[in-house]
Amino acid sequence: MIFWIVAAAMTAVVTLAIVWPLLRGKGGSADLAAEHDVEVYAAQLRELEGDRDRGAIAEAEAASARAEIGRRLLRASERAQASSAASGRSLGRPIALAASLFTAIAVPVLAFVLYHEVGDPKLPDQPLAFREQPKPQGDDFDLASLVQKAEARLKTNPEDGNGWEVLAPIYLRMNRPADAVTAYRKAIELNGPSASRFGGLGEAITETASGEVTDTAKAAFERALQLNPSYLPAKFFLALDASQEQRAGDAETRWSELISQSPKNAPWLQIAQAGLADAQQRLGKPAASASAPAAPAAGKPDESAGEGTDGFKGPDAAAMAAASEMSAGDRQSMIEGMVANLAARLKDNPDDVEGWKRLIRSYTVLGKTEEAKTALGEARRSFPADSAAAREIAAFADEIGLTTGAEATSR
Amino acid sequence: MIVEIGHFALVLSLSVALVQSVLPLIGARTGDQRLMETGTIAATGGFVLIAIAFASLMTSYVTSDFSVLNVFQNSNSQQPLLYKFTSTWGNHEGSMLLWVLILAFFGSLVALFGRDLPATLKANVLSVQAWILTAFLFFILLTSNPFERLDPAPMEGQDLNPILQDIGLAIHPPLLYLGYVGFSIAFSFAIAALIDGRIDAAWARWIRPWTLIAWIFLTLGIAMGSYWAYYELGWGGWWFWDPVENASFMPWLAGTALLHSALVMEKRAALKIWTILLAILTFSLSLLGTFLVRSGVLTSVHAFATDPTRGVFILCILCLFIGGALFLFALRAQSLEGGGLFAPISREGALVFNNLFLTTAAATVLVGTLYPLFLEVVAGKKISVGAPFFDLTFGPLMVPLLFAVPFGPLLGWKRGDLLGAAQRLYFAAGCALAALVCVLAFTGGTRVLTAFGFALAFWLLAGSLTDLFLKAAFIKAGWRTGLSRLLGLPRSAFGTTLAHFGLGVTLLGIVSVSSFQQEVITTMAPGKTIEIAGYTLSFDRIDQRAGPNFEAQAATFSVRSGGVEVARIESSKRFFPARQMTTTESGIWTTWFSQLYLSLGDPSEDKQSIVVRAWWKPLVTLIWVGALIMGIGGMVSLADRRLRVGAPTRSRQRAALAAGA
Repeated sequence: MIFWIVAAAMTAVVTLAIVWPLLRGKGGSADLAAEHDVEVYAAQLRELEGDRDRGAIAEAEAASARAEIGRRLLRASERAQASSAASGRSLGRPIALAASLFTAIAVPVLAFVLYHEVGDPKLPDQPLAFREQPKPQGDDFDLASLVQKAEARLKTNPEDGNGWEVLAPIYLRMNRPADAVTAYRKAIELNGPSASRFGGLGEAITETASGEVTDTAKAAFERALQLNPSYLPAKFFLALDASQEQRAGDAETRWSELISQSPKNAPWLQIAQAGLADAQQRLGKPAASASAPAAPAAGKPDESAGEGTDGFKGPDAAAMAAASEMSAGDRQSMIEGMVANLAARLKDNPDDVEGWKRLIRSYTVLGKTEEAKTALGEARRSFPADSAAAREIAAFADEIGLTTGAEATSR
Repeated sequence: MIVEIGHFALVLSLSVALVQSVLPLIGARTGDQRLMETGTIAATGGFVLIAIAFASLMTSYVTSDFSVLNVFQNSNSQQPLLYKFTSTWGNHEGSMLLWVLILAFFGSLVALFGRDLPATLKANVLSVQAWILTAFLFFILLTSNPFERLDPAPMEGQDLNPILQDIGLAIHPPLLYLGYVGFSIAFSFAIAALIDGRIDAAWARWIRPWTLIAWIFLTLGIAMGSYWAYYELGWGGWWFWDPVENASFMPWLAGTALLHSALVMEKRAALKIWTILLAILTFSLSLLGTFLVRSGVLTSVHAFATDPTRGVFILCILCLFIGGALFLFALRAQSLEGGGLFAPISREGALVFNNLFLTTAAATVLVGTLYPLFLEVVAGKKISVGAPFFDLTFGPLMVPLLFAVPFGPLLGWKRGDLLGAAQRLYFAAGCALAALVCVLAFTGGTRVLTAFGFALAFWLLAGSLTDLFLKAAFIKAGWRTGLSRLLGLPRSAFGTTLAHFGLGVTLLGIVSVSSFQQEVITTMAPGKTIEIAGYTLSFDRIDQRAGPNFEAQAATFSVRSGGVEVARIESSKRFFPARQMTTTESGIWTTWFSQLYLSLGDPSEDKQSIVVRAWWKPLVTLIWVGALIMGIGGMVSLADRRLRVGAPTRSRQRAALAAGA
């Protein structure tokens, strides 16, 4: 509300300031250009004398220059005389009123309409200080400085396995996956293998590869499962790997196994159901999990099935799994960060059809229909209306049941 | 809320700019004072609004508000406070916002200080200024909005590009933009004159100070950028003929030409049409520079500006303004009134000579910059046009120009005496000859080109002082009268001398460093020593340090001369984890005007030793000192009382006219 008051006040002040001179009754006459010319030529004559005194111009040339300027001066003052009679003319009141009406309408309307298009008035500022306040760990809790202290400790005592183990997931959360890989490796080396350490290592490697489960990551997850056959995060990533490599049969088994073993409120359930539906559709079976509301969102194979590895992957999925060990709030911000990464990447490189589809799907899976629509709109704008890419995006939007309202009807 | 207030202010400024594009123009056409006056208020109000937007973005950066996408992508909560400020324009969106802020700033300057301008000229200028503003505000809001949001905000940002985490970012872009964008005023004046179909005498008075302001900032901005690249990139070079550098150098060359032709126009009312064309071309080159840097068509050391889709938008703006301006010029140029007459050998003639060479040089740089792009588009081949091309083309163009510089101020207006001027330059010629002989003697007669380079530099240095010395007439009138005459000279004479002297200083630095630079590249382990330029450089130790958002490997060297330690140099490599990038911090020791420059390469495989590059750069700082002197010369010239003459006695005149009627 305060925002709207401030915005309205700014608009009002600016509009009034512009309109003010228009309403101020009869305008004074415009000063005449010819009068200015007279001034300037007179000044030129004065400077010419100065130049002559300093010897910058010879006597004969100075005389002819004086004549030149004098002629112009004469002409200018004649013009000034002539037009001073006609001066004082100004447009009638109707035109000034029309101009003020135009300003008074155009400025606010344009500003508010455009702002409505691009602005986000309900979103409050979220400065760092504000974001860190609700942390329960104490008054002066500062994640970054804690990390720095831990790093300093590990520098002097690099054999402290517990230190690495604590630091590793924090690195993952801080968007430093390469450091997380090192930390998990150290933790495994010093504290011995465990399912969670290998699982974490796999997640970290996956994140360094922008969400793709690489062979190294896969090996780590398999090791984690050897150590603890019911370690669900590892199962999630192996299923994800199957989806990414489009081994549909394998993916179907893995996803359904994961779903059956997961608790009802597991954070990865939506993704898992989407992955299952994706795999089933690839196999030509009807999607079984229609009951899950988000499932159809990602439930269609990509159009580029022939291209190989570009199937079901993305930071959203990786983030989901990485988030499995976090508290609810942290998880949410992590996921948002990953999706934001993707959105940012698309901003730099909007030609990526698959990327756009991934982003839109991520938003739908997260239940952010508005953002999904915005992303869809942006994706459409990124390609010429009649290009193959635009058609692909449109088809994709239809599949997941998403329209951008006005835009959709106009097409 | 601060973010959205800023966002709204930016949008509002666009609608104000739209009004400003129309109303003053109509006012000027119909002669309505009230409509013309709206331009003044709209320009000032628009500037305040954009300033609010900029301040709000800066606040987001300082408080690390990662709910703003731009802040999240380009800063980090661990950055030192200064870099949180500078991050604001260390990225595409923010720097475009700075661009329009400065554009609006110049517009408001015209609005506030243009009281003495003829009202129609002022109104037209403000409208044209608003056209540019509107185009770029649309560009920002539609393709590069810095206020795009993220909800909820991520915990940590992605950090500013480490190369940009330097005090240089605080100074270089604002200076450069003040220069780039400052030429928009000259452009707006030119377009206003073409719209009106006539050039007021006041026009010429006004275009020069504005050009001068822009030129000063551009000169300092380019020099600052050059020094920044010199110490930050660790390559030891001070100019790379990189397209981004050329992008700022082309408007500088054209702007320097404009500065000189505006002088002729102001004093002698000659070269009017040419000056208008030059004003258009200079700002066109500024726009071209903005396009080259902002569109991402280049991939170079300034790798931080890349986005292909935006390029099309800027290209449209570019075509609209350059094409439109040239079209208008073609339409109206014939109907403009010509000016004063002059003989070929005269001050005017010398300034035409200057213009000829400077614009040709600008064209050369333009070809060298655009040809590789053109070839890439047409033939798909990627070539690079580097120093060899520019040495062969740009260099030879500069030699006659630099040789002619001392003659210019000594020639009389309208008709000059070349022989007389040459005779008065005997002292400068003596200095040049002495330099030539000295260098030849020192190098055993092997470095003839170098010797001529030094001679040219000293010719410029002594030649630029000759003018003042003669005008004061020390020899004829004695020291005391001479001194009082010297102090009585107009400030623009000092400005000319300083600017030309600065050029000589820069040239001296360039010649010296390109001829007598010494370079040693070797792998060194702690404890080893090398010899360079008579100094013994020993590698003392290497240690790890932790910075606020980076880790550094710092190598310490001690410099000994004749066994006595004269300095310690520290050079380091910094690793920034947030971006996974390494930067080189060169170690520089300055003694007088020369520098010893150290930078670290990669460590050897066994980590026992590291590649060390050491340069001895004689008189290298003169390159930037000279640019600084040029800038100061510009400021002195700007302070000249003459430039303030416009219409100070207007009311008196008006009264006289009224009495006459």
